[in-house]
Amino acid sequence: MIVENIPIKRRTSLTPPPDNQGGRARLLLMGIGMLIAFGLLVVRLYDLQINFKEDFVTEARENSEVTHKISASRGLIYDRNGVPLVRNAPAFQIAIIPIKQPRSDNSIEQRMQRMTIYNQLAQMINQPGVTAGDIYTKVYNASIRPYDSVVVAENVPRDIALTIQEQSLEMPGVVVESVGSRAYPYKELFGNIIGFTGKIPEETKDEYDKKFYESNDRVGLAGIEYSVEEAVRGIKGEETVLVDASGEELGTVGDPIPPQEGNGVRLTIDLRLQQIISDALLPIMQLRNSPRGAVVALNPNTGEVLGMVTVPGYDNNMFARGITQKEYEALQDNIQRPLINHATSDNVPPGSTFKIVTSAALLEEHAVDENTVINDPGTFRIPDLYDPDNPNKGQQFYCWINLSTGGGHGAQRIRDAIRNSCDTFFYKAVGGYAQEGIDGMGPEKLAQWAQTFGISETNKLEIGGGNGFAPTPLWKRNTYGEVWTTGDSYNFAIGQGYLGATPLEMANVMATIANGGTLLQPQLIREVVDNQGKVIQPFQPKVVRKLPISDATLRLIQQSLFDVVDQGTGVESKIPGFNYAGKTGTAEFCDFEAVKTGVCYNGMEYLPTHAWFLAYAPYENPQIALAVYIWNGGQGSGVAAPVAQRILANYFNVPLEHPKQVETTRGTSE
Amino acid sequence: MSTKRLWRHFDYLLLIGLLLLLVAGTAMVYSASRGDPEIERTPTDQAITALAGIILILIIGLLDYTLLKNLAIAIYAVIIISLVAVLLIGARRFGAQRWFEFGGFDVQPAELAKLLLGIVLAKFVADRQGKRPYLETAALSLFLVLPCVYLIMRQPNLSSAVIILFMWLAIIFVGGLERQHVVVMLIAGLAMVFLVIQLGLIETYQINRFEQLLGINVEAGETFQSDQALIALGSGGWLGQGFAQGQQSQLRYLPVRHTDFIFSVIGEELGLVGSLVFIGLLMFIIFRVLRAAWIAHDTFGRLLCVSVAAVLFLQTYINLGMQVGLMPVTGVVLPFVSYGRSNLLAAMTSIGIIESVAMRYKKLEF
Repeated sequence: MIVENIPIKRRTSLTPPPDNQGGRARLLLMGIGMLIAFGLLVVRLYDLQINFKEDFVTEARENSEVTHKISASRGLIYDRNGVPLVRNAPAFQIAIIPIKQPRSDNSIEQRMQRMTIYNQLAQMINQPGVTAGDIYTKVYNASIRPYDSVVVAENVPRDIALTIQEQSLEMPGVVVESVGSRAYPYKELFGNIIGFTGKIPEETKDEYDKKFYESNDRVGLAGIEYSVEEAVRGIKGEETVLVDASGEELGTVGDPIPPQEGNGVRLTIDLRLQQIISDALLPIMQLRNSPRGAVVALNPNTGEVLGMVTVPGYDNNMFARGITQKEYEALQDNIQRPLINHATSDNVPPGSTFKIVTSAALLEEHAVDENTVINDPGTFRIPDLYDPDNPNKGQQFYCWINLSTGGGHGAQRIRDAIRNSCDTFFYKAVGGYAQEGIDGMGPEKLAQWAQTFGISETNKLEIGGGNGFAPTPLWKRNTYGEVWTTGDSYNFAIGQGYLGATPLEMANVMATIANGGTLLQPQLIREVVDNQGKVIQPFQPKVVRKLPISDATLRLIQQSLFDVVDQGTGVESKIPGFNYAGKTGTAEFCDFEAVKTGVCYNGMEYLPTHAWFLAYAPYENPQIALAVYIWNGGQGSGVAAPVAQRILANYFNVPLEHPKQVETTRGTSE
Repeated sequence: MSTKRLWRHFDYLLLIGLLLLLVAGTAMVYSASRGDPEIERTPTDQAITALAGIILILIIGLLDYTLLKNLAIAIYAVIIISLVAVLLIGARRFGAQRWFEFGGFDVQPAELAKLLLGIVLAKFVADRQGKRPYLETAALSLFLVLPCVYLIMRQPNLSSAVIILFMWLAIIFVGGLERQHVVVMLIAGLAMVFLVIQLGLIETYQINRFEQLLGINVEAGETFQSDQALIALGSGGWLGQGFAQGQQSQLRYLPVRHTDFIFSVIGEELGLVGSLVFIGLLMFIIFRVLRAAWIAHDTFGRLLCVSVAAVLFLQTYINLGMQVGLMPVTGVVLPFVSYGRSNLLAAMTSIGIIESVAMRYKKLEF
């Protein structure tokens, strides 16, 4: 046997080791020591595994279970008839998850590997501000949280994003993320109304954090998108995923909570009317070479804004997809300020359209009655206070008609004065004319009535905006340290001078006359509907005030406004077979933009004018109140009235065989 | 001489305990490494190595351990030479120079020292027993140990140095320490610790590891490994999350889980009960080794067994202590359980020596 050959030796010595007993005792001691040591270990193990188990289970869960929010799709915005005005369109961004990048023990090699990827990525993205160096810095700065993705490029075009997605296997750590952005198919037509969504601005981050927004969320930043944010944002869902140490997602844990789509918002705007307005306004502005204008259409019975067009507008898609510095500068540098809603914010002289307010004031304050006759000689002089007989002193006033045809309107009652837009009647009735024994109502009461009609009251529209201004002698003294003159009252009476109003305010003046004296709050949001289409916030008209104005006065003004179109200054914009009321306005101005663009200069003989026209229709049963305002448009009758004529004819489907030709030359009529 | 009589005293219980531990350990290595392509082969490797180890035990068991006495000087020379050589030409990894590589097979001279230095010391003490004053023997034997300890500290490898010192202590203790010697030994021990620190043999990272254990001066992320191990172990509860079901282990939050931290996988997946089974098996093996020392025929055999028991015990204790947060993080593996071919072979070789001692046990029977 082989084993036999191995030197196996059995010990045969019969003498046990001399210290056998002592050795065994020490062995025993050693064994006991080991037992005690193991006992300690077991106690510790029990403590960890039984007493503190829950803590460790929680920690293990925190390690490997990551809860993601599932974005809710943003509620849409519709016109009053349910036509969607926005689309949800994902925007793509490229991000890097630091932990998933190539790693190497050799730091130089690791950096080289990563820079190769960054270079490739930067080349594919091809955006300014996205170089390999920029990406490196961003990722480096975010390395404290290696599992969170770092966005390196936003608003990457879809095709590029898809290409990067395809090649992401060769670029470990690179991911394509989609964020809920918006597309606005109607661009400038609704830009200033709907506004836009975008990234949460850095300076307001804390506020949004409090409302549980996340960094990749898009929020409404302007216009309706901003004001309906809470309604349309929806409720996020949640899912918990299992993540391994390398950051790989292995699947969901439990049932995810599905997100809830945001509510829809129906505007009061009628898309059809909006387009009609735009189609009527733009060509005429172009003809007049006017860079700026606005039209507001209200439902006089409810205060709903049926249409609101402002020019120049902006394409809100630029903001939704991320506006470039260049584009933004172009918008900022445009002196006519496309980002401003001129319909709600242009505080400009309303000219003769203000005579509606003046008339109501005169009648209600009993400064005149329907039979009061005031003579308009075409031009007259207010004598100098200290030298009343000197014909070379004092101030000369003209009615507009004197400048265009010579002469005057002659004897005028208030109904004639409105129809003919007779300046002299309102001059004298408000400012007084001692030579003819007219005391005048005075500017304070007119200012009060302007406010009663909503001019200069704080704008409460959902998208905000500005307001006009009604001056008083006290204000003038406080502001300029000057005394209010009769001339100031004259100017105020015909909607000039220190007075300012917005197109929206003027449209609302017209609506108030049309509906019988109720000032309503203009509203842009008709209702909020949930995703089943159920109305959860119905429309409710908001009455600002019932005006203290008698039926007789209203009737008189309404008839006068009918006369304006029927036989007065607006007669050329009559729509055959369709009755409507209107008021022209030609407001002299010389504002900052005008000076800047050379439209107005010092020593000009005739100041430039805004073309204004207010209307409501149908006369018998008003459905719409309009304000047309064209900055430096020329005459109200020749330029603004034709816009209203086209809008009304189209909106009410009345054939218009011979629309009024727009005056292309400078005129001096109303 | 018949081998039949030899086998009569073969410690079958030790072998059975070892087999159970090897099977269970390999299963846990499988659980720890599954799905990870880099270490997927480790359970197979471990199983093959264990089989080879069993054969090794049987062969070594047949050899008379007393023959080792004759080789003691040669063995000591091999230990010293290899320890010097590794400092000169060894492979450097993770900042320490500890390894020789033989075609994918790692050999650590420090492991060799743990396995073989016991033979040298046992012979030294046994030979002088009853002839020389014991304190002298103890003091002189230290001079056999210190060169090894110094060389190992130079690698640096504090834990192996500590294990070897502990082994020496165990041999000296069992070899015949009297009560009056204890004071002298204590003073000598303190002096040694002082010397080691003064000589700058302790590296900064080693001090750091102690500081981490005590929770002082900890930088963020430094304790990542031990934190993850504690989380895994602690979340096991009574019965664990189930074999191959541990969240920390299977999702790979646990580092070096198939080697150094295998016990955390056991704790997480098999709970306190499973952990106690493993600890019980390890204790069983260690106590079977002590039993061999108890019945050993001569002082040399007894001290040989004591050296093996000391090394197995301290390795187990340091490894487990590290995972329950009682010891600093070191590279000490769990004997018979952690994956590692040379470690497993070395440990099984030492069991072979134990069997050799046990088989030559002779009751006073005539």
